[in-house]
Amino acid sequence: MKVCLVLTHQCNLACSYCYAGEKFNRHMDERTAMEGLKMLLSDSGPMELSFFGGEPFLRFALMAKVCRWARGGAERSGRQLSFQVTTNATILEDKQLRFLKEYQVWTALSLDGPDNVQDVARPFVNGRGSGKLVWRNVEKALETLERVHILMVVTPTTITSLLPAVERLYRAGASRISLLPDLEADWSTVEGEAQAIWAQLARISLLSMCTDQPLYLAPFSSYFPANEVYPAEGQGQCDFGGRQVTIAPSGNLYPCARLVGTDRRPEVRIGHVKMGWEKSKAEALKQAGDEGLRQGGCGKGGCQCIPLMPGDTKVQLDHSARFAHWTRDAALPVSREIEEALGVLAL
Amino acid sequence: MSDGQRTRRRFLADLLFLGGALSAGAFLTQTEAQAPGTTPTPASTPVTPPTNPPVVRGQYVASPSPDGDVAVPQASSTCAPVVKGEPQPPTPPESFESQPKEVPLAGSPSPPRK
Repeated sequence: MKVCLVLTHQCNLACSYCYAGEKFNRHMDERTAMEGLKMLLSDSGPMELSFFGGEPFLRFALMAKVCRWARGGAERSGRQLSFQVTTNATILEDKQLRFLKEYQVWTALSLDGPDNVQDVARPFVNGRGSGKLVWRNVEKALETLERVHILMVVTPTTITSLLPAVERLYRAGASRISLLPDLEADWSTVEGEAQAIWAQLARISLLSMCTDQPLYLAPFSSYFPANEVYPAEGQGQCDFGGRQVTIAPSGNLYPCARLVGTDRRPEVRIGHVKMGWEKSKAEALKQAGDEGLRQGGCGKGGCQCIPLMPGDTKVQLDHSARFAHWTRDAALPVSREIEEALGVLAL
Repeated sequence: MSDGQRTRRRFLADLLFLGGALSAGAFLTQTEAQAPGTTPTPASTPVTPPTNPPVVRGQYVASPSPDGDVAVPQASSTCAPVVKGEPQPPTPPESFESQPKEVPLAGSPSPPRK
């Protein structure tokens, strides 16, 4: 089972595109976190515990305590347990790095581009840029930790600086990067340029996967032709509507962390940590998500939560479908080329 | 990352981010040639000293240091460590759970000064 704890609604950054909505001073208390952990421990099979926000490192002490409890529980029951955190990388000092290393936490670090791009796309709440600090922390994390995943939100303004940022990350040791297009943005003005950059990135990722230093760059890496030869490492797959719950600071349950937002949409809730989890509602939401994706023509790469997000989901689905097509058009020819080249080399 | 991995990654990054469309065949051939097993080690120090460059008239030539002008400190083998005070208990494992009640938000506006 997978349990995600949203430790706080508060964040120290003010990213314009943030789907978590308005930030406010509400944190998860220890009792709610403990209830969430009980849910995880009372189930059977491997366990995955993740932390989200707001910025979860604003509640570092609680995160550390929950990890200690969880590890104790897993040891007593002899079950497999893995940890995951998604952070904006602004609060990542030596102490946090030691913690992440000790608990072998899969650490997803959000970063949008070179210093100047990051400054504009992800400023602090007082307007100051976060680029210099975040790059320093990300490079330190890549040097120190083994389980690092970089998340890059791609917007029409950041896409042109994507290549130098990906290059810098690769040179610093990154091997897992996910590109997440801003599905609410207006892409019409940069369509040609965006497609060309997408094609370059697909080539870089797929070629790198033929080497001993691969760059698993989502969404392209799933097109690699010989996954059984070069197994793709990474975090577990999303299990929306299955054995996966996200717990808001209030204790409300959701099928996905992206749907928590400001915790004011009862239509996408699936219960409360004290009352339990309505599996039938989770399944119904999954069906609604699947149906939305099918109608939107998203195909490979679409997330079931997109049709359930607030705002204009038609625009989001259209963009999701467009990026899925760009990805396929960019990755398939390289994939075939690699297959051919590998065949020639094998002879 | 080890030094070898760093060198290898630099080599691959140079190829991958070269610009233009590098074909899969060309890429595989080049990377095979520099496969991890055959990663060249850093150039070793030449056995024979390099020949001195010709001295240009009027150029300052540094004279070699005369032998014996550097005193190497000798380690004393009879010096036993001096233990003072009581034996210290082992350092307890680090606690990650202490945190002030309110963490100041990095980058948040400073409180107004009086």
